[in-house]
Amino acid sequence: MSEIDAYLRQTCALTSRELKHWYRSKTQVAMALIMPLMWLGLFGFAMSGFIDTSGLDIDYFSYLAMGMVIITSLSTSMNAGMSVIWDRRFGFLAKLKAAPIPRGVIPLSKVLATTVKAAIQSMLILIIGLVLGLNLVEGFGIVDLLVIIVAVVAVALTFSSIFIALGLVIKNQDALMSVNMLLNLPLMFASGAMFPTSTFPDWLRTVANVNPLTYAADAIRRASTPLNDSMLSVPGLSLAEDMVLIIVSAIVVTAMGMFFARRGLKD
Amino acid sequence: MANIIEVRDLVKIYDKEVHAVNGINFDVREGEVFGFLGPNGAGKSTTISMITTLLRPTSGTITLAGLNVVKEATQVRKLIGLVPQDLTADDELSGRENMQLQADLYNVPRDIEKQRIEELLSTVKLVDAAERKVETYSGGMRKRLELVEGLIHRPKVLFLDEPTLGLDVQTREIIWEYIRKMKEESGMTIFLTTHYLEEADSLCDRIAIIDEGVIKVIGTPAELKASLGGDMIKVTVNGGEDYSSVMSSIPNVLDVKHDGSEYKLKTRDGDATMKDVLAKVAENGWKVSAISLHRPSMNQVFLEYTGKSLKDDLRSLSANKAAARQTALQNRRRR
Ligand SMILES: Nc1ncnc2c1ncn2[C@@H]1O[C@H](COP(=O)(O)OP(=O)(O)OP(=O)(O)O)[C@@H](O)[C@H]1O
Ligand SMILES: [Mg+2]
Repeated sequence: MSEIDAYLRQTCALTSRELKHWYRSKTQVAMALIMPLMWLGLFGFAMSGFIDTSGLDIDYFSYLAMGMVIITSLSTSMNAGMSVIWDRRFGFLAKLKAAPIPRGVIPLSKVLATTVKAAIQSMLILIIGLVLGLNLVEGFGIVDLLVIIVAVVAVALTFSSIFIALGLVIKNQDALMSVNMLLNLPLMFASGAMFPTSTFPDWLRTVANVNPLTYAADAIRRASTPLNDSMLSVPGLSLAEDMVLIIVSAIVVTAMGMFFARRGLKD
Repeated sequence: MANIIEVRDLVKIYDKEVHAVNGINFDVREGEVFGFLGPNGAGKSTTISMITTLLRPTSGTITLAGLNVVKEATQVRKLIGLVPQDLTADDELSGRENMQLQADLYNVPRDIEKQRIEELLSTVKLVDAAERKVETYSGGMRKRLELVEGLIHRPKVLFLDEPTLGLDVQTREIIWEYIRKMKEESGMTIFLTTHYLEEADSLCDRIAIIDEGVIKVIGTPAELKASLGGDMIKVTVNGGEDYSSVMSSIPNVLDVKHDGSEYKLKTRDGDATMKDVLAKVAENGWKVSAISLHRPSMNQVFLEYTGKSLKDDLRSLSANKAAARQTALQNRRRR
């Protein structure tokens, strides 16, 4: 029992260290918000004339804003890999490894901190979206808000586990940066987050259908926007089915991520 | 005294070609201060990393408090404290936050952690700077913080990799005094590396000298110095006679050389011979104009066993420092 207390204490201490880094660095928070806002400005307003939204029951800005809520969670998670590399470079990781900390606590606390950051940053994007004219469905309530939060958290768990494990296994800053660049655009575009997948060629839709982001985007749109079911990426699923899919994939991927992260911590 | 650390046939080969540690054997006794000396790149840090569970040995075994360091790493980690050669405090956190983090990681009991953090911070005179981010600290302040971080959980064995590098004389004194006190109060064993040979001489119960991954000699500082042929007494006796045969008859004296009126006596025991020489002086009424006792220094010992002069070593050390400064700068830019 006292062992478990000690592990909890270590997890809390390491998670709060990460969060202190985050909220003390104004640039980190600002950068995390600027990127999705640029997309919103560029596509949501400036280019909405070029994008055919006749099939959508809502304006493209509202459609895209909800996608950006999910994308914010994704990019926050992708950055977590880099912080692992810094910790190794500065010897901080070695200090953790010399301490009586179960190896799993080290990546787990990073995943938890990243998830908190992602949830807060995504909510900020939602609020900014609302200020800029995002239309929510009539009767949007607390349960719908919870759905959004759970979806954002599931996405953060899934992808921060992957990228933290990558950071621990790859060890090299430049190599990880290349991997990030390589995965960033496909993850973002081969999903229903930015455009309805019904406009995709078949092969791309197949890719999007295995991307958890697609289901997360569907889920939050079902909860928040007045959207015709046929305009969702995977029509025919219920909100509950979407949620089960993203929660299960979050659990499975996090478990796998922790497994590889622990291997990356050896030597 | 029981052995707290036993190292047997320890080997570390990096990347299949760098033989950093080449089959070393040594024991560290419970409660002693064990000094690990050697030139740059000798394998000191590598050995510490292996004993502290950070690095897997290529072959050989390490036992700490009866535990196998590789197989029972978690148990071992609870018993040890490590102050690494590099500065590893989180520089975005304050000094006190770093200490608190360390207390949490080592599960220092809640009711004593505040007091202990305060005590340690004041020992190294960091109370006034405790709320400042570590990135604003000077090099010496960081090193001091690093040191007390390793003491927060009162480890059974404390590993100090060049703990006083870059510290001023007063701070070094304060730190050693505190560590001696902790050692006396709690029976802590201390394993340290240093390039300050005088410091090693006065602090360490036993010293091992390692060079190119091989241990050259192990012993108490007195034994090591004695191995170089003992002490020497220089005495200048005015008067025309040759006193060599009288001097040679003094017990413990191994050899007498004289040059004019100056005599050089090699002896097994400088203090005893000094007394005997003074007795002879009084007995025979010699007119002595100078007398002095010379003991071999740790510098000479180091030189003898590593075949390198300390000067060479310091030169490469400063080259190392320049390289380290370079990386530190790069890191700063990146952050
Ligand atoms: N990660 C590594 N990969 C490859 N070689 C390494 C690695 N770490 C150390 N070495 C090499 O192993 C040897 C021993 O290094 P080590 O750091 O143990 O020396 P040291 O005795 O601590 O030296 P110093 O006094 O400079 O701290 C050196 O030749 C070094 O270049
Ligand atoms: Mg070293």
